[in-house]
Amino acid sequence: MPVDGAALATLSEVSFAYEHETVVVDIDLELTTGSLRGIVGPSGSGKSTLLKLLGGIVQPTIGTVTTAPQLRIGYVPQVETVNWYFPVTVDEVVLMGSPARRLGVGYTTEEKARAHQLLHDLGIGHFEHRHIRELSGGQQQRVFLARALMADPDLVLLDEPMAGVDVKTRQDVLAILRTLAGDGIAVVLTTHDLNSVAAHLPAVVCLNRRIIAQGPPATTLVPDVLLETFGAEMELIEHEGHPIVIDKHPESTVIPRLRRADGRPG
Amino acid sequence: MDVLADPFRFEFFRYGMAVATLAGGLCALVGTYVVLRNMSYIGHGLSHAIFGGAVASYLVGLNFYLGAGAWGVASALMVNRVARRRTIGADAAIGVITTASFALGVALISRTSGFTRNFEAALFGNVLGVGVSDLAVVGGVSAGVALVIVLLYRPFLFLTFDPEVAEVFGIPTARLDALFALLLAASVIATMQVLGVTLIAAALVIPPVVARLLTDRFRTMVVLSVLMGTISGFVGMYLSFHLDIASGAAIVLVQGTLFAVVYAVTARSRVGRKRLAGVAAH
Repeated sequence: MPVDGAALATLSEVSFAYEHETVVVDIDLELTTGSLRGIVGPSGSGKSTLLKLLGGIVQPTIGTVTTAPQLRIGYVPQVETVNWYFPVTVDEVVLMGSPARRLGVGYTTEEKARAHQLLHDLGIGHFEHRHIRELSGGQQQRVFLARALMADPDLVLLDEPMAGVDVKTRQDVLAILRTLAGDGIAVVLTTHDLNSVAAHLPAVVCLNRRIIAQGPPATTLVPDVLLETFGAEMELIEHEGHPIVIDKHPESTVIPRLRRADGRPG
Repeated sequence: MDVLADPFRFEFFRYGMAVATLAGGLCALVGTYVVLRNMSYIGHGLSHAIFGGAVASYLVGLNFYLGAGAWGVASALMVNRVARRRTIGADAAIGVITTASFALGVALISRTSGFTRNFEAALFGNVLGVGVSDLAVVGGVSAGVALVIVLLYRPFLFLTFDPEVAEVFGIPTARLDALFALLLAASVIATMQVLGVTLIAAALVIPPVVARLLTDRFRTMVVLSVLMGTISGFVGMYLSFHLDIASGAAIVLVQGTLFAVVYAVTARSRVGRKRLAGVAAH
């Protein structure tokens, strides 16, 4: 584990394009041990691509990604990208994350014990022999978080971990991530849930192909930044020192009212 | 009992039986990964591509395994390269590469008189010409492929389940993809004579699909698939002898029957219907 506060991954003036379509532009970002950061932005703003750049899945078209030597990364994919029909059980998925590069079929007793402990710690120990499809959305998220932790990571990347989960699961996942950060693991997640970011995370990155702003939610989630990031007007109120983001009333938007086929107002 | 023992009086049958049994198991082993990686089309295309190399090597007097092997390795690496780009046109590009190679084989044959019998054997499988050298090749390839898959079981499982994320966890996915393409090419070349170009794809796909209907565990699926491939190779050879039909067709017909029976049984249960959905998703 690198020393406290050490830089784990640094993106310097990074841009990335698929074929001829630019996805992210001129990104500067530094992740240090124990940091906990949420990336917010509209669909297509480059959130997942930013995670892929950090994970080394894609390489920057311009700029550099520098990582600490021997950096271990755990990655939790979007649930929509998982093949839920693949013939694999919960424990098999978690064991995939083992950092040991052993030859042969099967896993050691120590690896199995570690996987069992992680599943138990995440509250899904009794599901370990179930097929992954048989779990609820929140339980499935925990399986992939367990796989990421099985790698004994310095950095955990989570792509939309709060999508489609209930409030209790969302709070549980965020509590787990805060614990990980407290243990010195850097955590980066993408989300559309601005209020969860505001309430639970110490730092946020507003992204719309480029970084619009980054910093603590209280100073970053402000109307001008949100308008530039999402292209939509939002109001903010404060609750116990955290900003709460509210959509503006529909009547104040510029979208014209729908009309019926006969031309009369709908 | 005579019906079972009689064919073994013939040397060609003993070799053929051994080769067919090994070929069924080998295709089923590699096929498990082919099916789960949605590469069925690549397996089908590769067998056709290698046909071109097989014909060309025959015509220039080159050893079948050398000629088809070199052609197969080149085709496999090219197909793998195209497939890894994951662009919309990958399927079409693979289709062009493999069918063009197949067409070259057909064109060369049409210019060569007296090749009709070998042509049919290459397309549909024939064990009449199988000898000890063929048995050695199929046995060697089967042992080699099984050894690699057992040794690299863990990274291959991760790569098959989640190729993009496997890269993040330090799995060398590009090298493993290339290695798997070579294993697939070697399996196709080794089994071409007994199964035939047009039926290899079925031998790659049917046993894993049947196994998938019976289990939700990867390791069990691999074992069941190999078991069914091996048994269907063995039973298919008997049918081929007694009914006087092409060996490849007989083996695939046995596999097709297995599929129909397992499908009918599993479709009745809730778990079975879920697994059927899984098969449809692959």
